[in-house]
Amino acid sequence: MHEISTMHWITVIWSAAGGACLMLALMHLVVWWRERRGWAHLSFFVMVAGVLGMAVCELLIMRTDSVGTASAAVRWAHGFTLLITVGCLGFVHFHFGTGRRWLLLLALGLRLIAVVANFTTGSSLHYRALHQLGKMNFMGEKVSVPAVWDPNPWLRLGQAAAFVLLIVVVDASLKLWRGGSPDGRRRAVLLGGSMTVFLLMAPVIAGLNAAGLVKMPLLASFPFLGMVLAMGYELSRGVLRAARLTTDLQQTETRLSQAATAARLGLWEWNLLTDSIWIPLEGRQLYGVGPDEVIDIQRFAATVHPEDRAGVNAAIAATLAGTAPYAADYRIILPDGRIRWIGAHGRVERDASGKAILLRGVSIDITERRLAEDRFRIVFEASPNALIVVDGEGIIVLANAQVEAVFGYSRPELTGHSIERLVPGRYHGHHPGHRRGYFTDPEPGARAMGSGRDLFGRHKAGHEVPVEIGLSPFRTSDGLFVLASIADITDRKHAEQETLRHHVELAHLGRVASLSELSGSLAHELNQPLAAILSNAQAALRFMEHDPPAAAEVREILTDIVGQGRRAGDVIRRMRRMLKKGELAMELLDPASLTEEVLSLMKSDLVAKNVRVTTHYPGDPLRVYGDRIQLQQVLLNLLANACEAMAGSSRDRRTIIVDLSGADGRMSLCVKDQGHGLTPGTEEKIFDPFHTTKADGLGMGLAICRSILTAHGGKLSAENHPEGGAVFRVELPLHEAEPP
Amino acid sequence: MTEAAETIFLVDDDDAVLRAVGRLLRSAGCTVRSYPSAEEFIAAHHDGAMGCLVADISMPGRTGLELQEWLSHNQSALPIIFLTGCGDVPTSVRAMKGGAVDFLTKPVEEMELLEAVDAALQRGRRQRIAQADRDGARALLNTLTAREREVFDHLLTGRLNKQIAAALGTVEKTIKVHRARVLRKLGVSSIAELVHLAGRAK
Repeated sequence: MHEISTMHWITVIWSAAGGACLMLALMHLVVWWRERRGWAHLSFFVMVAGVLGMAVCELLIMRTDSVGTASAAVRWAHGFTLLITVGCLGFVHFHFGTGRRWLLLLALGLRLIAVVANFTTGSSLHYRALHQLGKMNFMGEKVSVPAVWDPNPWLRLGQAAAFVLLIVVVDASLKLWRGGSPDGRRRAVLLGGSMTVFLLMAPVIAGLNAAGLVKMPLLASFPFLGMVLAMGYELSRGVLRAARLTTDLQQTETRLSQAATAARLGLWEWNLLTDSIWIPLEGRQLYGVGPDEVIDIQRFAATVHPEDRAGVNAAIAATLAGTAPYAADYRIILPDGRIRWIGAHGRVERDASGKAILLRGVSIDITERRLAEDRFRIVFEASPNALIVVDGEGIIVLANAQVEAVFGYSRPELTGHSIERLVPGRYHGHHPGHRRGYFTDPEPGARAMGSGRDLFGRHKAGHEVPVEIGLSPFRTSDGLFVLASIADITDRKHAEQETLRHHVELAHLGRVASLSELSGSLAHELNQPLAAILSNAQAALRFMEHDPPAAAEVREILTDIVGQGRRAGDVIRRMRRMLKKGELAMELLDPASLTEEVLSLMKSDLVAKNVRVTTHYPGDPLRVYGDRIQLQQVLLNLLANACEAMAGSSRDRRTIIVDLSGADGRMSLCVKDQGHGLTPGTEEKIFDPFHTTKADGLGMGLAICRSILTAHGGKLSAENHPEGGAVFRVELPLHEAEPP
Repeated sequence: MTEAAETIFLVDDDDAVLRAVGRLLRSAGCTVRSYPSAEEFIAAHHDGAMGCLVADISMPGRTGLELQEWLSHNQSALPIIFLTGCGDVPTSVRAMKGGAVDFLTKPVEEMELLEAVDAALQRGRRQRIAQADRDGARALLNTLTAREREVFDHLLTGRLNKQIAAALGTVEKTIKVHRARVLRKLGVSSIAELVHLAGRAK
């Protein structure tokens, strides 16, 4: 009973260990089989198979009485070391990932040679020949152990292989430790440490045994069993972690699917090896596919709008070829016939050889966005203005049809090109700088470009187009853009020019009228020098006939004649200037000298009407920017009106005071008379066209004057003076700097 | 052209015209004095100036016509020629009615001007002679006593001595004596001559 029970222990232990190993091995084999990628599991299986084989051999040696059987068992045990070595190296390689390849190959190579030697030299690698078995007590049982043998010198090779294997494990563990990740360090200590200890144990036991210090059978499988347990524990951690991950994953997946549902996202995976598309419920709803339907690429293609299929195929092909991540916008036709826009993005996964095995991605319903884009496009296209979107580099991103109409370019000639293409050459120096300045500090909201200046665009044909430009910046995920709204104002410019022409013509008519009123005075002004010339010339003729001729007198006379000739010429010139129907000629003018010129034209008239004019001019000459003739016309009108207003005044109350002053950037010129003044309440009416107080007046004079001043950026107003008479005030902006 | 004491007074606000016309008159031998305004002429004027006035009409301040009025108001005998740039009819009528010698428009032909000046000077001279004549006649008349003057007035009306005596309340003989004395004092020998003298003194 005792015998039986002791013998039972070894059998029980070995069988149990073997069974456990077998279970573990099979479990991991299955794991590897299902995943095909858990190479560590396969390595583990190989190693466990080797340990199992070795354990069986050891049990055989202990249990046999035959030298032949024992020799064979030893030989086979050595054979299994190959499996153990391969498994161990594989495990280190795949699980640690830090083994040096050459060291791994060296260990493997040595073990291979050792195993070859095992089968070719003598009875085994241990014994060239085993002569006799002995008996010993082990764990309370009598077991067989080799007693007499010839040692095999090739055994050193086996020991060298074991040593290199040890180095492989230590080296990989150290590297893993140095790698620094907490998990890596744990694995380095736990696995690397235990594997090192157990790998050391085998030679230690063998050594102790050989030295006779310990009496026990040669049990190499035990340390390996320890390794197996450590590795099994480690791998089962992985399995446990995987289980936990599975739970986490399920949670994540739930959240993700909730998020996906909320965002109308559809996740999908296309297994290229099996051509099966995995897509959860919300994705199926997105595509209008039944919950249990099997989906392959054909089924997917069937949902896509026929017009978009080519595009989708191209995108997939490009992705699989590796040139771009998958991105495609396409329409699908839902079972009820509705169209839905889908935006899909994905990424390809490849195996070690680079072969695409999986395309994984997400699809989103972009119908709303596409509709918004369509709406935007419709509005963008329907705008009466030319619209251009420009990026931060001044590159045209988008342009509408009006742009083609205004600038003559087709859109492909513009998009992708610099906006400078539409800017006239004479602005090329400044425009890029202005543009960059605007982009660095864009004013929020829209604003007009180049306020106050006339802007021009450049037509493809080369001519310039007068335009008005509004700028509005907007920011997208791609950066800052500016929407430029460009109105072609050619027609308006024409209309303005037409108005201007009318204005010029009206002003001219006004001048003609004023001058014809002054014609008597003008004739007189011309007559005076003519009279002087005639009398001078006749006097000279007489002086010439004196004896001796009065040469000095004659010279004086001729000088006077020259002067009077010029004087007559000046009168004619001024008159002609006033009568000329010319374009506006803007220049810098001194209002004081303008006034003097007008007064000289009116001189005779003033004398005839017994009107005195007192002028007050500032010490420094003032400068205004304007048309000489039109401004003189205004002064002529005001002075003539003042004269007329005083026709009924007594002789000593016929003085016009002209007061010129400049302050705060404005010139003010007051013409004050001592006449009957304005009828109260008509201070504004007098500027209305056809308002007249004269029997034969047309009533356009003051209206024209006011329009002239308005066109000059000035003002004309009238009021009664407290001391009697009217005051007309002309205001004009003073010009401080050079004309623009 | 002018005689020793005769001067042409020139008034024109236009300096150039003033100079030119002055030269022309000087070249023709006139003595000329020029004034740029009526006011300056008035300031320099003295009674009994001889010659004529050539004046512009349209001038600042006092006009030519106003100057004419002033002269007649001051009983100046200076004949006036108007030389104007704008000779409208109402102005010229007014000027001529005021006694102007001529109304010329600029530019003026030298002969026109010189003839007008000549005419004016002649008129001046004539006026001066007539004046002297009148002055002489008046001086003669002033030598008569009051009674003789009464007789003289009656004689002018062509009354007979008897009628005069009746009117004066005296006898015919007395009137005869007075009549002889009046004729002697006045240096006339007939009633016809006496009437002529009375006309000169008007």
